[in-house]
Amino acid sequence: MIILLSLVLIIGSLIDQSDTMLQYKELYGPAWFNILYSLGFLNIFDSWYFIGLSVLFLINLTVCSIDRLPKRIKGIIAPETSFNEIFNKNLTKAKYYKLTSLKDKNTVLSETKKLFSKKFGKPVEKSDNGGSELYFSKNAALRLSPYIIHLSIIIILIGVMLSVTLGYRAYVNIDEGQTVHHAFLLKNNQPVRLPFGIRLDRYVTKYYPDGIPKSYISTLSITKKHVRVLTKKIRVNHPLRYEHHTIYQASFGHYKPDAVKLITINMHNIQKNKTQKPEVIYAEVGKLYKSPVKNLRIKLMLIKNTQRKTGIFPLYLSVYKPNDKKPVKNILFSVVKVAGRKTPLVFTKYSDTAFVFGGIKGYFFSGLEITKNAYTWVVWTGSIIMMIALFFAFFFNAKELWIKVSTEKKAGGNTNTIEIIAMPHKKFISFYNNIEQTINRLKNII
Amino acid sequence: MIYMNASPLDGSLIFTISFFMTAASFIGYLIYAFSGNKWAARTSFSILTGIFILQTVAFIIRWRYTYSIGIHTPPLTDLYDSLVFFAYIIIFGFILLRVFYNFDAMGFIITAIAGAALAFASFSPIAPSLVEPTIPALRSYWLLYHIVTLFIAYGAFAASFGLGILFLLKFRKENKPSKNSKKETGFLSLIPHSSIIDEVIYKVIVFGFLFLTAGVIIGAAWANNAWGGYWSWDPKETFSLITWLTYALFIHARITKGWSAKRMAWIAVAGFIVVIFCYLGVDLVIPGLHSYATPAL
Repeated sequence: MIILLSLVLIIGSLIDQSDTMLQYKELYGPAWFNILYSLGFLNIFDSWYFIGLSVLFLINLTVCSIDRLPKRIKGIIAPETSFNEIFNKNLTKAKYYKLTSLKDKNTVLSETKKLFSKKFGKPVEKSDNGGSELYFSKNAALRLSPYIIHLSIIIILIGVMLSVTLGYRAYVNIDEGQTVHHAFLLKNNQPVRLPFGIRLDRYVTKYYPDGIPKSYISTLSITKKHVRVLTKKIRVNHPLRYEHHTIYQASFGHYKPDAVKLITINMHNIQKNKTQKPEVIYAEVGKLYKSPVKNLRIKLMLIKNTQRKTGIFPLYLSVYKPNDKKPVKNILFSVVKVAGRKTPLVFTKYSDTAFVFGGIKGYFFSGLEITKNAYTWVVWTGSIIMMIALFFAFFFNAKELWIKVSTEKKAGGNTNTIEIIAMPHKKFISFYNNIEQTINRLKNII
Repeated sequence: MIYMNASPLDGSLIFTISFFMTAASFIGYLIYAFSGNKWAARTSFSILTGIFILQTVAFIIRWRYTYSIGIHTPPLTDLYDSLVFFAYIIIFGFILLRVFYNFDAMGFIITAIAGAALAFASFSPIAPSLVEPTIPALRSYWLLYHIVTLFIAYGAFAASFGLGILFLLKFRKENKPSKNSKKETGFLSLIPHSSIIDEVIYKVIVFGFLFLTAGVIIGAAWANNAWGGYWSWDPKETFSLITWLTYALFIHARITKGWSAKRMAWIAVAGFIVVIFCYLGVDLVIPGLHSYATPAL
């Protein structure tokens, strides 16, 4: 069963599961594609046989566990304490030891009891005509831990099923300033309505000094009926959780080309000491704009690579007269360092109109992954139970010990026979060695 | 192309030195294995202890260096980091095991694995020791716990692999009495009885299994914070599940089916091959969400 499951898993990991159908066709060719597709290898973890195998595995696990559970519970609550019963059972893990002593029976019994109590706790005592019996048991309750591990696996799988059937994983791209009320399912791109709106207030990428991205940060607002209820910054590893939905930062991009902020100033007015507000225009490279001052049209152009020199601003400005198709003039920007300012002043001038470079405005969208899953706690509960049970199952060994002391009456004095059956529930050599050591010590005492 | 990582700044100089020491220790253990010379084993063990101390220092240097250049994540993020950490954990595990049992005979297997990892880290051009800024996905406090638990598991499985080989050698010897069967010779006579090895294999594997489970659960918790779900069927996740199932099979076979100790040893050996594929194979062969170690070509 486990081997079959593993095989499917190996196939699943060897074939990339996330590509689109078209990519697969290119990768494997049409013939192979058809074979792989009909076998379900391209989406193996959703295929009927994988789910079938998992369900079979679950049933198998449940049945096996329940099958053996009553016997084990009985063994823990009401263990077989009788020496003779155990002796006749011939248990494979049990070992039988026998020693004799000439000392008084009560001494023998009390010394034996004292010695084994150190490691095995308090015994159950029984006496009849045949002799006295001691029954020791340690860590018996921990014999349940394998069942608890199996139970925890079932809990985890139930949690997984709940999240698969009742939850979803979806994605959506939001432009800065936009609000969305829907997302698209990852598995089939079907739209799904969200119970709230998500607005992207702002997106920023932060960088390390050497230009490698450090974090991708989106400021999101959750809106309900057009009212903003919550605003939070999210980044990778720090999602936003709201009403069983989790919103993750997944990707980002530009949805429009970057625009250059140009501050346009009429120098004529400044010379005449007229106060004026600088007019701002956001210009994309290669597009024609009407200048906010003067009757001009302007276009920003990129200086071609071949002509580019270091220290020169990479854009130039083409100026057009209102009805002309060709520019009247192409002008470069001047870069002037200004004392007290980190960034230099970049500007250019056409007759008495100045254009000052005011930075670059990017139009970002943020790619979000939205997951609905109200049952992750089931999975975590199962996991925690599993860890605890694994710990107890692995590091504690349940052990049982049956001792019988019988007296044989002889003329020269009584001989006491001590019979010991020791059984660990995990067959460890070290256990028998320990028992033998204790028995040797007992031999010295009695 | 051979490219040597040996910068005093990021600790890689010490790791490279520790590689040469591991090689020396390996030779010592090999001599021990063939001649049974206890002195060789003792020297090798002292070298190994020295390596462990040196590497601890190297890790501290590397960690401090990483923080000093403004990267606030533990140095456990790329292929180089992971290889040296793997070697470190294996050596540490062997030293611990050596405290409880006389498994010197396993030394040459352990030093071979650790040495291979260190050689790969020190000389391979695809594993530069340069400390790169951490990509956003790895900037999380889960990183440390996830990596450390899993590498402890890998270390334990490496030990079980060595023990498995040791068991198979010893077992063959025990069951095929040679002509001079009165006295065992060679290094096999110096190791404990196969039934003890069998028990230790089991103990080491359950220890590893516990840490593997913890590591996978921590990974799932982290993925739930970073990737949009606790399980994404990423190749590494899938393979860790395969590894988990392999060792689960081992534990069940032993406890409920009562398989022979020889078969168990074979599973312990085969299981480690699955582990190695899960650790390196998945990174280097199959692209996936875990491909941080994949060299940018």
